[in-house]
Amino acid sequence: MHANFQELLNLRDAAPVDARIAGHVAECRQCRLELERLSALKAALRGLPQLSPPNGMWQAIREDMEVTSPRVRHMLIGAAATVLIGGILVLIQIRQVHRASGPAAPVASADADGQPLQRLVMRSQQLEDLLRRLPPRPSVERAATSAAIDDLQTRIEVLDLQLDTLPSGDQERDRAQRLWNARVQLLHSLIDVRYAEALRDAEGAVNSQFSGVI
Amino acid sequence: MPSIQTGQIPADTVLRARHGDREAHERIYRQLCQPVYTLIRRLVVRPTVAQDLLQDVFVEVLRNLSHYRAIGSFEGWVKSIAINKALMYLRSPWHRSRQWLSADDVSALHEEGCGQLVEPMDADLARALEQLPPLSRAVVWLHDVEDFTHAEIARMFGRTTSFSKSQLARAHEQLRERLKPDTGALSCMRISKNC
Repeated sequence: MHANFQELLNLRDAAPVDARIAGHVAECRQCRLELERLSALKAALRGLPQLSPPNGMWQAIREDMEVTSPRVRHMLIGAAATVLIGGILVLIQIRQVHRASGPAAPVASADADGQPLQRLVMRSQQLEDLLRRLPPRPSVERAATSAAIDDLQTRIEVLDLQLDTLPSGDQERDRAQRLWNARVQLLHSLIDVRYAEALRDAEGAVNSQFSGVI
Repeated sequence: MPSIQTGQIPADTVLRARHGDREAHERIYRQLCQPVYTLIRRLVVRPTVAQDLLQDVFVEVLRNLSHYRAIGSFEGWVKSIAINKALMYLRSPWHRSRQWLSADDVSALHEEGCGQLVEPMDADLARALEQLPPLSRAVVWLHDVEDFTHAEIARMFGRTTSFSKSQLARAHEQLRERLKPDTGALSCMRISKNC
């Protein structure tokens, strides 16, 4: 019986292996070839080229450090505390309203099956109102968050374009409902991402102030 | 070879950086950004996430230089912070909730890979590695490239050594499938904007 992967990997890495297995591999051409292949693959993985981060990363790190440096921290403590308390209160309020209006997933299943168009439009307006009440996006943003927000906004813009060019009439009602439903879901996702970002930003500021005070 | 080699940062640079010398901070970044980014990218794959994590790692390193006790190598300390950040990301619900963006990110990866001067064999292998499940990919990279033992990997994941061994075997099995000449991964001939 041939050696399995784990046994071959143990042999490759000079880890303890049953003597019978080692004996078999020494005599079996197929197992020896597999062992050589595993060694070659390890060498190839170790030889993969290094990857470079994009230019401008150091600038972003420096700005991040600058924001949390002790000097700037002390300067910001007084002003930021007031803004923070207000911001967190707004976030809590927004979260409550957002939760009350329902998460994205249930909206998809409930609304797709013919919820009146008017309600979807109203929900869309409420969510946009929530979005406007969120604090502005931070000046230093995580690339992944920024990409996710941009992607969601682009998708909403595409939907808006489709809604703008949609002919009126009963025959297009189903399509309009689908588009508005998709818009509501995207707005829910956008609020989730923006909310998480705002909360992280607020927590970061609190932590840096807290460590500065200590 | 392991992505981060020891002895790249002179002790006096670390000392100056501890005292807030900005040039020393930048020197540490310039010396280590590429190996740290490579390590993170091999673990989390998505470039935008890797960039975020790289930023987090260096901010944490430079902010916490006073916590570095010089018992092990400085590069080893940076490496442990980078691995912790990457594994925390892989374990986070945020990572799982972003799966819906994967299609966009995968196309970005292919374009990035084609944009660089990479040997076709390297490109195939890198792509096969990227296509592994996150845990298997992390284990194979940490074991085969970064030289961590199964016991060390098990500690990082809070699992047993059998978990690490079985993940490694599974990863190699999948890599073999993906790299088979007849059904293997595509070389860098994909039609894309950058190729």
